[in-house]
Amino acid sequence: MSSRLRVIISAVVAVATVGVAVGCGTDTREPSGQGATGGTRTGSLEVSAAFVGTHGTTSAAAYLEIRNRGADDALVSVSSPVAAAVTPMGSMSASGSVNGSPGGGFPLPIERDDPLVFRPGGAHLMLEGLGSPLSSGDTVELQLGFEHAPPVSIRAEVVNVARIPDLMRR
Amino acid sequence: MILIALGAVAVLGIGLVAATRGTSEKPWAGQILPEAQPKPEFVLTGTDGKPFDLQARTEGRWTILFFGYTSCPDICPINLGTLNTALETLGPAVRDQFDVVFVTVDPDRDTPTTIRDFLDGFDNRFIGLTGTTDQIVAAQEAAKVPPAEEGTAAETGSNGTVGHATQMIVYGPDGQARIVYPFGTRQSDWTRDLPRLLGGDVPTPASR
Repeated sequence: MSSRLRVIISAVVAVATVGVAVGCGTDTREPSGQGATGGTRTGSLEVSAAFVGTHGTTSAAAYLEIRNRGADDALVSVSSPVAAAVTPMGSMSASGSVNGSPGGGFPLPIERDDPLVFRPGGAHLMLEGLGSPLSSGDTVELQLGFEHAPPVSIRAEVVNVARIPDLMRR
Repeated sequence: MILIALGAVAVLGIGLVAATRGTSEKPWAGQILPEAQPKPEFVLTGTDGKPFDLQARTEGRWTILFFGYTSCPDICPINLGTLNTALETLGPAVRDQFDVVFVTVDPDRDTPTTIRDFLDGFDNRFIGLTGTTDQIVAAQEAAKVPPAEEGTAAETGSNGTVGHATQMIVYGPDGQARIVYPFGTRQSDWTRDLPRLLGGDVPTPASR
């Protein structure tokens, strides 16, 4: 092998090694933005499928999914300008019964390849103390805080509860 | 070659006729019970504060019964909102034939007033019932609805709520339930099934 080729190969290997080292670390300097599935990215997390169900009262249920392709993280807080409080609630048992107690409360782990999912009939984020009832077609801002990833603000569309079964995955 | 093609067509044709004969009953959107279940007997307290005897007050009426609690913005509003919108779509001729009965499983927090306000957000004809914890547990058992999560010790949350089954049970005028509708039932499921029930179609296990 020529010495020039050897130098080039070494350089390529060196750059690749640095690149892998940087990529495997918990790089919290990654900017948030659009993820591959149209969700919102922050750090190694992606927030998607966010929506809120309204039944015309001063409380409503928010649903969303958070995927993690990096080191373990956790959801530590959720707030919204429209709600006095946002509380994680509920869990789905195998029998289909629902335990209405808060799902352990924050922080909620988001492990690598084990998404944190709030979906109808399962866990949800209860928005309480709404200034006024939400209407179908409104958008609600949800601010999410994490243990490692930078916080993000996402916008969730409001739908009437009667439409939700049509949106649920079978 | 032509003989083979004709033979194939013949087989297909016979198959189609046989298939349509076997499925003279279209599938139901709800879940058919393996055997009919009688409407439970219980006397609870209505939102007017007065005793409500389910058997006496809904005798001879189509009745849709389910258990829930008003403080949850998730399952119960979705169940009620979807059913309510479907009944509105079907119109008064259908709607007037059904009594919708909601029983709270959180009697400590769900007062008659709380329940009434919650149900009025959907339809003020929806019936709301409460009672003592013992009465509520007995009512769920009578309706064959698990009072708490199966397979675990009865779990109560820090706020005292218990797990509850999320299905809606439909009883006919004969006081028997043959079909239930789980959480996730869509408006289109209701608007398809309820007129069939009213029209005399009987869900039987063989028609699944």
